[in-house]
Amino acid sequence: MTKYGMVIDLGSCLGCGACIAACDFENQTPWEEGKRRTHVPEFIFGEYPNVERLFVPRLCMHCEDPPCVAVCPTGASYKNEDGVVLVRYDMCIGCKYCVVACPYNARYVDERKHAIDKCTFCYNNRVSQGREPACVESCVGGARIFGDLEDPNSEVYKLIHSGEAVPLRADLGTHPKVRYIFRRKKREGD
Amino acid sequence: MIKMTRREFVKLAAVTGALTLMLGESEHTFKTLTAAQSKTQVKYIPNLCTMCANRCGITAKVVNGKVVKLDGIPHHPANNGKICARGQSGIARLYNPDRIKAPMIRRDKSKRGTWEGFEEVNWNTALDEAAKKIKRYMDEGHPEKIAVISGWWGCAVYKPYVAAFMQAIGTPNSAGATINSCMFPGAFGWLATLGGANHAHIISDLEDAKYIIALRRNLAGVGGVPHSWRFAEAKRRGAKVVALDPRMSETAALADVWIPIKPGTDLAFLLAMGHVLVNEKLYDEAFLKKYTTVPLLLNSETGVPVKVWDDKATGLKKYLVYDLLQKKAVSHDEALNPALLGEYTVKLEDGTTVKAKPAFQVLVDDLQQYTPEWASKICDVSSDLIVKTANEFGRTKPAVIDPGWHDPRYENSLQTHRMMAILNAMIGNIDRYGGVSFNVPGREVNLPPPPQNRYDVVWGKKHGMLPLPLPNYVPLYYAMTKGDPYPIEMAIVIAGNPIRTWSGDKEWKEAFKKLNDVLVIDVLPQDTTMYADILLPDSVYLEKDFPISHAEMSLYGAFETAIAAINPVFNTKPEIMIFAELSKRLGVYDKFINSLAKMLKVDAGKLRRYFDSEGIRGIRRAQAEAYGISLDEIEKKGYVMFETKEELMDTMPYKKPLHTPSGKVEVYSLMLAKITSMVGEDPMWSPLPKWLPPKVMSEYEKNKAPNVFYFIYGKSPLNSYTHTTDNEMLDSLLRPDYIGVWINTKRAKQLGIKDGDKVKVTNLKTGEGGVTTAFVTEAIRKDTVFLNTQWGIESKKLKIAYKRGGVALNKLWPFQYARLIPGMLTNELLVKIEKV
Amino acid sequence: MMNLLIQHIWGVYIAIYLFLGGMGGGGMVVSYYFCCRRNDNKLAVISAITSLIIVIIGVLFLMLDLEKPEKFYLVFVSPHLNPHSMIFIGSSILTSFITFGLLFVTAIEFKWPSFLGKIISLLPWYGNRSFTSAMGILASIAGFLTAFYTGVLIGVLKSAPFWHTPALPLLFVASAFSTGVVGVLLVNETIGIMAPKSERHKYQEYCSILGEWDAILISIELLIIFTYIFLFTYGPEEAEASVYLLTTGSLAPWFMGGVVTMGLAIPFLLEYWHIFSESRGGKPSCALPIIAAILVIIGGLILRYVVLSSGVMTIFLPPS
Repeated sequence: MTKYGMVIDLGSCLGCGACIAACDFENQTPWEEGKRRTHVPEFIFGEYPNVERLFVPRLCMHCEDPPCVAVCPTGASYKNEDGVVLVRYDMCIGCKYCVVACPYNARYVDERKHAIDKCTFCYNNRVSQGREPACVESCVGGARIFGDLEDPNSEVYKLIHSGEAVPLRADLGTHPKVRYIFRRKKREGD
Repeated sequence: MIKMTRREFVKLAAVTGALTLMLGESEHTFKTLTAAQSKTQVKYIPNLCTMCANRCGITAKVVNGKVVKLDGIPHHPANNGKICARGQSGIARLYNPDRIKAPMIRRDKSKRGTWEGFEEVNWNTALDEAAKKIKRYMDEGHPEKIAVISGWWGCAVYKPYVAAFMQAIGTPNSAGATINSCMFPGAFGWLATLGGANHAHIISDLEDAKYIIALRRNLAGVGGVPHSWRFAEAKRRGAKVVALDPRMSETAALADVWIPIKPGTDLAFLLAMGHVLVNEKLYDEAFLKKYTTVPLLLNSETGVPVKVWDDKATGLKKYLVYDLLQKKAVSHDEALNPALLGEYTVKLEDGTTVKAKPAFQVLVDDLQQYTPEWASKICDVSSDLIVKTANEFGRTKPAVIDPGWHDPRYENSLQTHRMMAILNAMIGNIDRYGGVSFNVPGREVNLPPPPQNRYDVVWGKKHGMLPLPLPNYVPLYYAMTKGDPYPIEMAIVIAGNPIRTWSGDKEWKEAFKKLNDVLVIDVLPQDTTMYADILLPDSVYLEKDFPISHAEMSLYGAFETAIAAINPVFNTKPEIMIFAELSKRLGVYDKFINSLAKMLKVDAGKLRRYFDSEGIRGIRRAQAEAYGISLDEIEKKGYVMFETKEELMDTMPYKKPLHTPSGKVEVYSLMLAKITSMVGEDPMWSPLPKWLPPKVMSEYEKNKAPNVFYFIYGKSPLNSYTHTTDNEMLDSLLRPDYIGVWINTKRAKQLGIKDGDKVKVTNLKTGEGGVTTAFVTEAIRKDTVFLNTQWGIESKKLKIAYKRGGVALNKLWPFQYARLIPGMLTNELLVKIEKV
Repeated sequence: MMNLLIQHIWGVYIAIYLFLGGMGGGGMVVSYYFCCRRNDNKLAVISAITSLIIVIIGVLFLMLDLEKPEKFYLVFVSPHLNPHSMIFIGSSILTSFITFGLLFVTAIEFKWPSFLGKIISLLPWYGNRSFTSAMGILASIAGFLTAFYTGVLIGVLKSAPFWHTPALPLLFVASAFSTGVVGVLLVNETIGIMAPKSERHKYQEYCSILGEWDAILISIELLIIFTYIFLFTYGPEEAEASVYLLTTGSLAPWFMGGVVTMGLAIPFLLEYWHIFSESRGGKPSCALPIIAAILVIIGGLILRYVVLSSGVMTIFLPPS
C-alpha cells in the first residue's frame, strides 16, 4: 500500500512562487483567471521590530477523510488507492458542493472542462512515472517534500512520525496528508 | 555530484529519450492529445534559462512543436534541478503576443520616444540599412563613434560574440550597467581584496556554512536559484543566518536574526565586528600571516608601505615584513614567522632606518575607534547584538559573509564590500568549505586592461576617473550629448534597456534623441526600443541555439549549452546570426570569425567551416572539439562536468596565487595603496578600510520631516528586470508587497496613508518620481521606504507591464555618481511620500 | 495582513433555490392544513400547486447553477453514486416532494378546468379522501424535509464555521414556514378577491389566521437569529467575522436592513397591528398582512443570500 503525502518545511520556503508557476504550466490550470491548484499566501505578524514574515504554501491537503469526497453526489470526487484525492471529470456535474465544502479552499471550477478541478499531486502525469510533483521538483528552497507516508524509510514518514510535521487545522478532523513544519524562529533574547 | 539528501526517491531517467509520452500529460491535455495520439510528439530539449543572469540548466518539454513546460535539469551544477517562477515563465515570454514580430525601420528621427512611424520590412532590407549606417562611420574612419550598449547579456555569456562584432567593425566602445548600476563599486571591494568580483568570480559556499551573514542582498528571495537553493539547504543543515536589511526581505524572513540596520550603515556594523574580532583574538592568525598582506610593514609616520617591489619570475608584488624568528625585515616570502603586531625598526638598503608597523597592527589601531557602542549609534542596532554577532561569526566554523551581487548604492559601497571580504579573511575561510570561494572563471580571472581609446578611459584621464576593465556609462552620456571626450553618434543596443534601467531618466532620453543612428536588437518593445531607427527582433532563448559556456553560478567546473527547442515563433533571428550577417554585409566577416575564434580559444578555420554549414551549432562543434568534450553528451545532457567541487576547493591562495597584485588576500590593498599614492588619501579608497558615512545620512537629519524617508529598493522573486517584464504568468503572481511602496505602519498612519492607497513617491531633491500604491507594513524601518524595481514602464506596446504603472526607479535615481569608480549612488537619495 | 476568504462559489442561483425550496415546502404543509383540517379544497389545491411550481422553479435554478446541467441524472445513476451526499439526499427529497405533491393535488376533489379535469378525474385516486390525506401527510413531510434540507445542505459543512450550527437549519425551517404561510396568504387573497362576496369573510378569516401564524413564526425566527448571532460573537473567529460582516460590515445593509428590519420586524409589527385591531373588535382589511407577506418573501430571499455570502471560510493562521 502506498499513501502519498507531502511535508512543507516553512523554514525553507522562500516565498518565490516557483511551485505555483510550475503547477500552472504542468497541469495547465486556468491561471489566467486566477484559478490555481497551489497558492503561497504571505503572513506578516507582530510589531516592528519584532516581526515575523511567513510564507505558507497551500494546496489540496489530500485528506484521509476528505469532506469534498463525502459531499460529492456522483462519486466524481474520490480518493484513489494511493490516497490521492482526484476528480473524475466526466462524472462531475459541477454542483460545486465540494468547492464549498472544502475547508482548505483547494478546489475551483474549470470552465473549460465544465468540471471541478484540484491538485492531483501530479499523480497521472508525473508520480506514476516515478517523478515528483511539479511543485516539489521546482521548489527552490526544497521546502516541499513528497513521499509515501506508509514507507518508514521515506523522509515524509520520518518527519511526520517524529511529530515535527503537523497538519494545518487538525481540529477540522479531516486528517490531511499534507503536513507543515513550523519552526519557531530563534530570536535574539530567546 | 551534488549530494541530494531529500530527493532520494526520485530517480530520473535520462532527460532526453525518457519518452513516457501520453502518461506524461496532465488530465487536461490528456484529452486534447488522445485525439491525435498517433501524431503526438513529445521531446525534451536542454536549454539555458535567460530569465535572469544566473543561467540555470533547463529542459524544455515540447509537445507537437509547442513548449509546454520547463523543468530544471536534475543535478545541474548551477541549479540542481530547480527553477524559479521566473524560469518557469519563460514560456510566457516565448509566446508573448507583445513581442517584436518582424524587423522594423523608422526614417523619422523626431519620432524617437514614440511608437510612431515604424514600418515593417523584411530581414534583408533591415540588415542592409543597418549595415549602411554602420558602414558610414567605418568609411569615415570613425568607427569609435559607434557605441555598443547591452544588458547583462553582453557582460556575461554573450560577451565574446558582442566583442567579436565590435572588433570586426572596429569600435572600442561598449557600454553596460556593470560599473554604474550593477555590481560595482561594491565588486571593486572584492576585486581589491581577493582578485575577483563578487558573483562573477566569487561565490560563497553557502550549503556547507554553519553561520551566514547576508547583507545588501536578498539572497533567499532573489538570489537566483543557484544561490537560493544553497541558502535553503544550509538552513536545513542547521546554519544560523543573520540578515542585515532595513526591510524584512525574504532572506530576513527566513533568517534566525533580522537586524533592521539603518540604510547605508552596514560598514559601521562590519567595522565594529572587526573591532570585536581583533580585541577578542577571534582571527585566524596562521592564515593572516601566511596568506594575507597584513604582515606588510607600513611606515609608522607616513602610513605607506615601507617597500613593495615586483617579482620578475611570478609577476607578483613582493613586500617587506618583519620576521620574528630572523628578527629583521625580510621579503614576505622569506619570513618564517612574520609579525602581525608591534612596531619595529627597519634598516633599509640605503642604510637608513625607519619605524614600521605591520599592516595588521595599523588595522588593529584603526579599529579601536570603531567600538560596538560607536556603531550602535550609527546603525541603530544594539551594541550587544553587534558583539554577539561578531563572537558567533568568529567562533562558529565555518562562517561566511555572503559576497552579495548588486551594489552601486552608497559612497561607502566599496569599503563596505572590502570590509566584508576582510572579515571573511580574518577568520580564514577563503576557498574553504562553507566559506568564500571561487567559480571556475574566478580561478582564471582575466581582465585585460581597457583599450586606451575607449571613451570612458579618455574621459577618465580628463576628469579623474579610474580606467576600469569594463566601460562605465557616465562618460557615455557626455560623449553622446556634448561630444566629450569625443562624439558618439550611433548606438547599437543589444538586449539592453538603458532608458529604463540606467540612472537618470531624463538624461538618457535626451542623449538617445541626440544620436544620429540607433539600432536596437531586442525581444520585446521596451522603453529603449521606442528610440530605435532600426529594430531587429531577437529570438527568445528557447528558439535558439547557444554555443558552449561555463556554468558560472556554480562551485563546480562545468560546460553548458542550449539547444533550440522550437523554431522561432515569429520572424526573428538569434543575435549571433545578426552579427554574422551584418559582418558579411560590412565586409568584415573574416575579422568577426577570427576575433571570435581567438576569444573562444578555438581554431578559426574550423569555426568558419562549421559556422557556415551549421550556424550556431557549428560554434558548439568547434568548441567541443577544442575543449575536448563530447558534443553528443553536452547536447543530450545540456552540461558536462569537468571538475568537482572537491577538486577545486582549498586551492587559492594555498596552492595557487590569487589574482591580486601580491597573489595574497589583500587585507591591506596594494591596488588601493597605489591609487592613494596617485590621487591622494580618501576614506573611500583607503588601503585599510575606514568609516565613511553615507551622504544620505546627514541629508536625512537635515531634511527630517514626517513625509521624508530613506529610500531602498530591491527585486521581487518575480523580477529580474528587462527579461521578466511584460510576462503574463509573472504578472498573475504579483502580490501587493511586490507592487507597492513599503512604508511602516506608524509612519503611514501619521501621513494618513492606508494600505493600498495611491501615493506619490518623489526624489526630494529632483522632484522626479511617480505614483504607486502603499504597502503599509510593520516589516520595515520607520525611517525607510522600499520599492521593487520593475515598474513605471512607458512603452504602451508592453501591454501587461504598461497597465501596472508604478514608479520607475531611474526617475528617482538622479544622474549622480561616486568618485573614482562611478557607481550611481542609487540609495544616496531621500524620497518624499504623499497621499494622492 | 490577511484577507478573509468569503464563500463566493454559491451565489444568487443557489440562494434562490434554497429560498424557493423552503417556501414551497412550507407552503405544502399549509396546503395540507387547508385541505384536510379546513376542508377548503380550492385554497388547498391552488396553494399546493403554487408550492409545487415554486419548488420546481427552485430546482431549475439549482440545475442552472450546475456546470453540466445536462448530466444532472448522474446524481441518481452514477456508477460511483454517493448515497451519503446531501445533494443526493436532497434530490431524493425533492423528487419525493414533487411525486407526493402531485399525487396529493390530483387526489383532492376539486373542480379543475375542463380539459385538465377530465384527465385528473380519470385517475384512480381522484377524490379518495383517505388517499388524499395520506398523500397530504407524505407531501407535508417531504415539504418539511425540503425546507429543513435547505438548511442542512450548508449546515453540515465545516468549511465555514458560521454555517456549522443547528441554528441554521432551524432558522431556515422557520423562515421556510414563514414564507410558505405568507405565500398561501397571497394565494388566499387572490382567491378571495375573485370569490363571490358571500364567501369573502372566510378568506378574511384565513388571512387573520395566516397572519397570526406568521407573526409567531417571525418571532421564532427573530429569536433564532438573535441567539445565532449572539453566540457567534464569541467565536470561532471565522464565525465572528461572519457576524461582523452581517451586523456592521458590508452585508449589514442587506442583513440588518433587508432581513431583520424589512423582512422581519416591520412585517411582525404590521401583522401584530392587524391582530391587535381585530382583537379590539375591528374588521380590518387584509391589507397589512399582505404588505407584510410581500416584505417577508423579499426578506426570506435576502436571508438565503446573505447567509451564503457571509460564509467566512476557515482561516489558516499559522501558530505564532
